[in-house]
Amino acid sequence: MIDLLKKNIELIFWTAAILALAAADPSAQPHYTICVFKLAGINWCPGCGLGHSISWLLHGDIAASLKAHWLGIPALAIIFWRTGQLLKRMAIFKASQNYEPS
Amino acid sequence: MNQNPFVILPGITPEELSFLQQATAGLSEVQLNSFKFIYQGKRRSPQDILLFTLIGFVGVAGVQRFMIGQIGMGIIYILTAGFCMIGTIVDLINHKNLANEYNAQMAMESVQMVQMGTF
Repeated sequence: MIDLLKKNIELIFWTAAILALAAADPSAQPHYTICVFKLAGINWCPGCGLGHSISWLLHGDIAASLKAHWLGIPALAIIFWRTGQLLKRMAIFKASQNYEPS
Repeated sequence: MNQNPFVILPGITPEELSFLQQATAGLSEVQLNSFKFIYQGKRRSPQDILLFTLIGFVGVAGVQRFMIGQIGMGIIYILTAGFCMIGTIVDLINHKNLANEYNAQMAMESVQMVQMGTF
């Protein structure tokens, strides 16, 4: 079980991140942030708004997504592609485990 | 009893050893030698991945993703400071898997190159 978690931690991470952004409400007032830079008082960063952008995209509002951050669409595409790759790897690994050493 | 030629590779993991043995199963002695040279140049040691991931805490995040040929991921990591450092921490925990994944691809490529006779 622990081994399974360790082997697939990246897959779990991306899936959890996308699910969290899909569940979040991008129009709500910002209540807390985990961004280290924002907490340190630096209010500009090239990635600022990317979370909102992806969240809007998952809610189907492309205009708002582009307004939040133009990189949202490619970012989501890249994350989906990487998730697919990791799923494929997991499937291959599972298949290779099923061989009975004779 | 010959020693396995791959155990001298720096930071080699058991998984890597097993996929190398699978990849090189059908190669002759001469081919195995050229495979070693090609693969040594291509592989990334897990320690390198770990070090490049650590740069994410003090400077530019995502160097490890560029190192293993994931350009798109690398760009997102740079722009978001490694997903606000969470992505960097995940990659720290995961550095051996990242290295193994890349090295498995490189082993396959090296075998193809050896079989084509381009070296």
